[in-house]
Amino acid sequence: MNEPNRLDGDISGVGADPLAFEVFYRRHVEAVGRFVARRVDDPHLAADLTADVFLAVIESAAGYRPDRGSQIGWLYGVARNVIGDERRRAAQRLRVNGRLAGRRDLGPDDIARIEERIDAESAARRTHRALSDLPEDTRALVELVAVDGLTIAEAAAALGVSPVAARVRLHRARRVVRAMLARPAITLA
Amino acid sequence: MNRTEESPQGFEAQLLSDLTAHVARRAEGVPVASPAGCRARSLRAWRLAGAFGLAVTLSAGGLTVQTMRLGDQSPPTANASEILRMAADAARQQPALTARPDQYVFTELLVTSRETPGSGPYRTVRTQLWKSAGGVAYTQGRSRPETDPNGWSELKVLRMDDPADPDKELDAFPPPAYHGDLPTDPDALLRYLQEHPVDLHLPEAADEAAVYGDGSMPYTTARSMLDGYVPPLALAALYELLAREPGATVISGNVADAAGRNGVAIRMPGVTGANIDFVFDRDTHLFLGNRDSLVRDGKESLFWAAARLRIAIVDRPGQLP
Repeated sequence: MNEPNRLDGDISGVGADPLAFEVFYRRHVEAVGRFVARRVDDPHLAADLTADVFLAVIESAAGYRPDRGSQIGWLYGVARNVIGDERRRAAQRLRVNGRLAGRRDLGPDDIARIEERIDAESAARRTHRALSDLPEDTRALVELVAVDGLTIAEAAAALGVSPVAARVRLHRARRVVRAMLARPAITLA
Repeated sequence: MNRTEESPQGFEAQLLSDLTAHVARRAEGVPVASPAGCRARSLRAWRLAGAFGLAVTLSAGGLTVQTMRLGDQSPPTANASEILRMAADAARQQPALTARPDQYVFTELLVTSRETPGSGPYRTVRTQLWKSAGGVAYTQGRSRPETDPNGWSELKVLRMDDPADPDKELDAFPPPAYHGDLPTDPDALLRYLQEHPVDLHLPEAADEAAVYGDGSMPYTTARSMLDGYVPPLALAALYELLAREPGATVISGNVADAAGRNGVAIRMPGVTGANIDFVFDRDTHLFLGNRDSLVRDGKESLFWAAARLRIAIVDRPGQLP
């Protein structure tokens, strides 16, 4: 097994190297947990999605290119796809042929810890909801910058657009978003 | 990020050990299932073959792959909105079926799918479903491998999974399959859909406000109705409405469905990490079916496609039109 000595740069091996994966997981599990908590407020769903994000990382790590952006930017791009899938599948659960496999077993401590995270991220979740009226490509960008704290360059890389295009879109979106956030919170759970 | 040296606790520690073992098995090149209890949701997606307990490898796999190709030929000349409007025109010409709430919407489908999105053989099953017109009974269905005309399964009651606990089934009837009361004007239909979103049975404490309040929700509801029967004028309004949703695109090239019919696929907007296409007949613009593909690592792989062969109203499950 190779030593995971390239982890600060290239993580393309984490899908095939258990040691490299473990280092990556330890480094990012908290960030992924928070990313998820900014979007869903159900602890079980949050735990499922956390597992799903890392599975997606394992599946897609071979495609990671260090020259195209930071680890965290790439990771958030992957996480966004997984959660987008989740929204999509919510509609498909209607289908009689729906099959959902396993679910994480959570103890009381797990739930408490996840709920703490969910509470801590309530403001970010409100911002995330406020973005729902933006066009999809702009929303993705604003989300990664305003909700998840990526730099414009990192967000652009995560979404595969040029930093210049990202800056232009953000500039256009800024006024819209400001107006939306000025609105009173709508039916917060 | 700020917990680099900290050890994960509880389920996160268990998850680490499951996933590390998963990576190790992958590294050894052993074909493995995902770790118990944390299959990726991409793999969890609905699988008709599984639902019917049938898993039959299609011997003519090459043929299937050919019909499942993601179009790469010359693009159709019409854009998505134009095709949806032509579908609306075609819908208006269809005879109207009527159903009482106690009757059933019968559909017959050819479903081609694979177990995992990125690999494995495609399998095709012929499926018959009886869905309660008024949403007052459980759906029933049966299926057989397309290669085995005598291989029909027993008629089975099919219940929706409980999203809060996938090991359980929802103790709820499905929504009505017959949509006889829909407005036939697109604006009125949009208002109706906004006021009557389809029940997604979200887990308790899920962010319902975000999901149901999303601007895409009326379109999600509209699409869900295509699983059942929508009368011609309302169906036309529904396609007119979908034609207005910005972002739909036409997939270039011919899309042959599992029944060998030539179609044009419209890719629905607002979907991340996957693609949902509706397929219309290339010439008549009648609805042929739908298909899902996943996008991972920039690569698209089709994993589920349904060709609708017929739809009718019958009195009881098991009855053929």
